[in-house]
Amino acid sequence: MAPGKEKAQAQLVEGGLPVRAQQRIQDAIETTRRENGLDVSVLVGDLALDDPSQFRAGVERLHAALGSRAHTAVLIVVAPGQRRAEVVTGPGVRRRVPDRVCALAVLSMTTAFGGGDLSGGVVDAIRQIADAAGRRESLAPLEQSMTSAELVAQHH
Amino acid sequence: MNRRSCLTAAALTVLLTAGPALAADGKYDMDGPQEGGEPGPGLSALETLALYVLVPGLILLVIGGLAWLQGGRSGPRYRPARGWDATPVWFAGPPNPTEAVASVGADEAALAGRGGASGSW
Repeated sequence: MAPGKEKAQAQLVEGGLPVRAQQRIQDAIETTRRENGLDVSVLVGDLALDDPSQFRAGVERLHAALGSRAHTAVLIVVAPGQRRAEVVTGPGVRRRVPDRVCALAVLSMTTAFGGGDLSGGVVDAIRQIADAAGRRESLAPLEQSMTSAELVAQHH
Repeated sequence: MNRRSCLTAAALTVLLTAGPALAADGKYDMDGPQEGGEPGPGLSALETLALYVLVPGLILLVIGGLAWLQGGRSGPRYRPARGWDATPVWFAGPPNPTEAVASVGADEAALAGRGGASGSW
């Protein structure tokens, strides 16, 4: 967790999300886990793709990379440079979070991002999805909350 | 409101507005010279400048300076046209993202039953 936090500090220097914005997103995720019992994960960053048209497929790979969580997890991907936002819902959570809720969340995100508000758009989308999902039994908090990595989602 | 409170309110209004006039004891005499009727000594050029230019200017500078200091703290604002070159950050992601992504098999990625939505701006 300490290296993650150091990298989070480095984000501010490199021109990424400010630390406060990252904290807001982290808090929203933890609140959703605790109050709605919904596993939400958020990735903010561009994907390194050979073929730009394979963006959705790359995002679904990232969702699968969640491993055992993927069945009931919601992944939100925001690529500020490529200017694309994606929501992926696992098969086990599609009834709680239907596609129309995802579409509305994406719409509110892209509207906010177009106006320059990254963290606000993400936090609002998490809240919309959490409200639609309703309250369930709490999920335990994750051990490692934030990771920063060079992500490569390639397609063969 | 009943009649009694209406009457009370009316009486109070009349007394409060007309009272000072009725309580004339010479202080509110409108004839003759009054306090403040003659202009004072006036301000010198330096005093005028100081009071109307320097002091407001100083206040503006202080407020502007505080605002300027506040603005830099959250870093440059995201503008879609400017692009993004920061390292990706994955909140609540797998413990080792690069490995996790690399270990995704071809059939896992094509797992049916996924939902969601896409958008761009």
